[in-house]
Amino acid sequence: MAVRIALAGNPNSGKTTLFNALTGSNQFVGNWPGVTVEKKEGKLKGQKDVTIMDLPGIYSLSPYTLEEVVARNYLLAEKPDAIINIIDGTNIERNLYLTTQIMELGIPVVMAVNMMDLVEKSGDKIHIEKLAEKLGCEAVEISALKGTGIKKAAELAVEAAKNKKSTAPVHEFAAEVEAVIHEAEEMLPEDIPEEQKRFFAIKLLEKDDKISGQMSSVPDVSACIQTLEDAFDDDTESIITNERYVYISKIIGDCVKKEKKQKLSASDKIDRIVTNRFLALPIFALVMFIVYYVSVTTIGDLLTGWTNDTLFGTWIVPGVTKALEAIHCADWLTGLIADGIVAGVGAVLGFVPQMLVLFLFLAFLESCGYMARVAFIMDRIFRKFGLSGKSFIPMLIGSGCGVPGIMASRTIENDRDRKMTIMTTTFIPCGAKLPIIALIAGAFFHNAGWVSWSAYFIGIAAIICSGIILKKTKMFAGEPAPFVMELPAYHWPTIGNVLRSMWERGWSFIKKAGTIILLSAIVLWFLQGFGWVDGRFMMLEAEQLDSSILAKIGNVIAPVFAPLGFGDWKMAVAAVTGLIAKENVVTTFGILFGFGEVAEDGMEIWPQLAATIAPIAAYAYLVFNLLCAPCFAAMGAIKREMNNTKWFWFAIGYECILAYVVALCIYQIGSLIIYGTFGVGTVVAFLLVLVFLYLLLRPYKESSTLNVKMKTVRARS
Amino acid sequence: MEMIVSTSVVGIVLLSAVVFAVRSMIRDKRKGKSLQCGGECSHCGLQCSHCGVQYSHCGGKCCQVPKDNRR
Repeated sequence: MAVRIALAGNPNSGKTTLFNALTGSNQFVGNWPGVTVEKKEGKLKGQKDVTIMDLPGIYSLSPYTLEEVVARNYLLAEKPDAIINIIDGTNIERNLYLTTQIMELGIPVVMAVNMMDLVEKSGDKIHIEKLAEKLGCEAVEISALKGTGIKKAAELAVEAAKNKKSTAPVHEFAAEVEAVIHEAEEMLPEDIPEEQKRFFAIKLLEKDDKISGQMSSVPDVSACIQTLEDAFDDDTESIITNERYVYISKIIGDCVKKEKKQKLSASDKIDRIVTNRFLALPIFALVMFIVYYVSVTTIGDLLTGWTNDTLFGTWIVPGVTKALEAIHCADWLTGLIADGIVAGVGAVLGFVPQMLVLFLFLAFLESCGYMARVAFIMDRIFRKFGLSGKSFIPMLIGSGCGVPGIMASRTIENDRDRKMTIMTTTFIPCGAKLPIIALIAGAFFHNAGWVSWSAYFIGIAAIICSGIILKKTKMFAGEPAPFVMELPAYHWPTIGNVLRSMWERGWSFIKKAGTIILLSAIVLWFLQGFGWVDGRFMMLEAEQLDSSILAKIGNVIAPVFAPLGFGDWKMAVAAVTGLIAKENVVTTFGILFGFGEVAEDGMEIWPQLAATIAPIAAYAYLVFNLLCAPCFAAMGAIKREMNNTKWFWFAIGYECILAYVVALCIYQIGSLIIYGTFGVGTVVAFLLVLVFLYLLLRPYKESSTLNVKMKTVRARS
Repeated sequence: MEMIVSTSVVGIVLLSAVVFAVRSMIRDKRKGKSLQCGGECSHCGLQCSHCGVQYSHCGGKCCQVPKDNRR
């Protein structure tokens, strides 16, 4: 007889470890239909007629997250023959909240108390027989990681499934609550199975708007809800939640004996400092400074210097050029390969060492658990400005690549917050922007550590200021959503995991260099290498660069950037090519500043670049590229996530305008301070600063009157 | 003559590299993978619903399910 068993439990309770142990390699992964939640099922080892379904990790059977909806729809509609409810024994109180709801489904339940090895190590004691008696179901101790008890758990589940005896919930709430639940049960339609009536009644009382999809007809329980809310002076969902936890506390008191001396764990001790109200932000700032200082300025710079100067500058570029000349290859093809492809792609690949060092640090910070704390720390600040820490998680992801950062905004339920997060995620410098930061820092500021670090914090400042400004508009006004997250314990990441994560990101970067950057370099070489001289279209010499097709295009757009200090056509063109991929800015510089030629002369690209614009203009250029519209891939992600053309263009327009304004202010006011230059641009910059301050500081009061046009409609008699 | 031969050979090699790059991008696109990073787009940025790990570009390698059994 075919048997289906579902594994249900909180995230990180060990479900997947148990699933892998029960099924081995006999498993398949797909997607639940219509959603991006993974569906995993497998056959129990040694019993091919038993199918194990690994449900998404959930904290409750409420309708708030996609995972919860998917899990409970499966449990209600598919009705598996049994459920193995995995409980994290080290966190039993929180895990039992889901258990009380699962018991109401009318499906046989076996409780597997996992991580018993850690429970024993901590000195706590769980009386498993008493727990089973209190909950009215079979309970077994397991350690999914060590493999103990899992065979017994599977056997009990299969037996329960074959006996088809549903587990009746034994928990009871306060008398008034039970009376109202009973009243609601009486109102349910006949087709609801008896053993599930309690579950449906409670969901209706909790005003669960998605449960109606599981019912043929929905009774009106508003009177019951009113009775309950009047009796307890609270909303029904909170009342029921409270009742569950009161019941759980009673069970814990009888069945769990905690080690008396509750010492702070190592994670708790670290968190007391790292998430301290006053120290958290300075520590975060210091950590990021160290990360960028080491990646860009010290170790990263040494490695990149060798890559640029020796590997490409001394070996590859001259080597390729000499080899092609030796075989009498045509000049144009030699130029394409040496000055176009090698110069362009080489300019980007030269920054791979710095990127790898940065990714190594980020992988370490993510794996050890610190980055989770950053979201928690930022929640306190973001909340003051209308966002929540949940909005910072996409930004953390965006520090690698903006595309997954934008996609991660799907987890934000509030539509306004989600739109604002999508618009501001790309302000955080992604991996592709690092070569631009490193190039500007190296060419203009002698690799000073503050340049890269400031780029990161300008991104954060842009996010915070955008949050403040936009939240004061009618489009985005509203309270930020609540933020609940699980902080994983700190642990030393394995070297393998960190190196693998570093390599995966680094490989993506190298792969992009071999595809998109390569093709861009070829096109750019052609556009800068050919043009019209004396009415003739021809291949140009190095000194005829200003006659090229690219120069003609660049001269059209360059005046727009003149107030920002980089009105040179080469800088303008590089910024535009950055829309294809941000690394293209560096590729373009590599080609336009003659990396190939420069290598022959023994000069580096940096002095040539430094001679083009002033340092303050270079910094303005850096900030412009950091804040303006992201690459096409990220724009595509924004368009998909916004799902609205108007909002897409609003987001892109906002980013471009903000980038332009900030760069303008930096250049104009910076020039005034450093060089004493004063002009129309300076006046405009100061006016923009005033407008910016006004938008930032103006009070906003949400309207308390509803202005709606009404018309009277007379009812027909 | 020598120049024509060497230019042709180098040109063919370069053209092959370009074709290979373009084919790689088209193949990735057809498989639902990103042209930027080669990762699986369907999971990009989302959290694994089983273990909570955030996908960035790895295409869902967190739960160590054997590759052959992905569908």
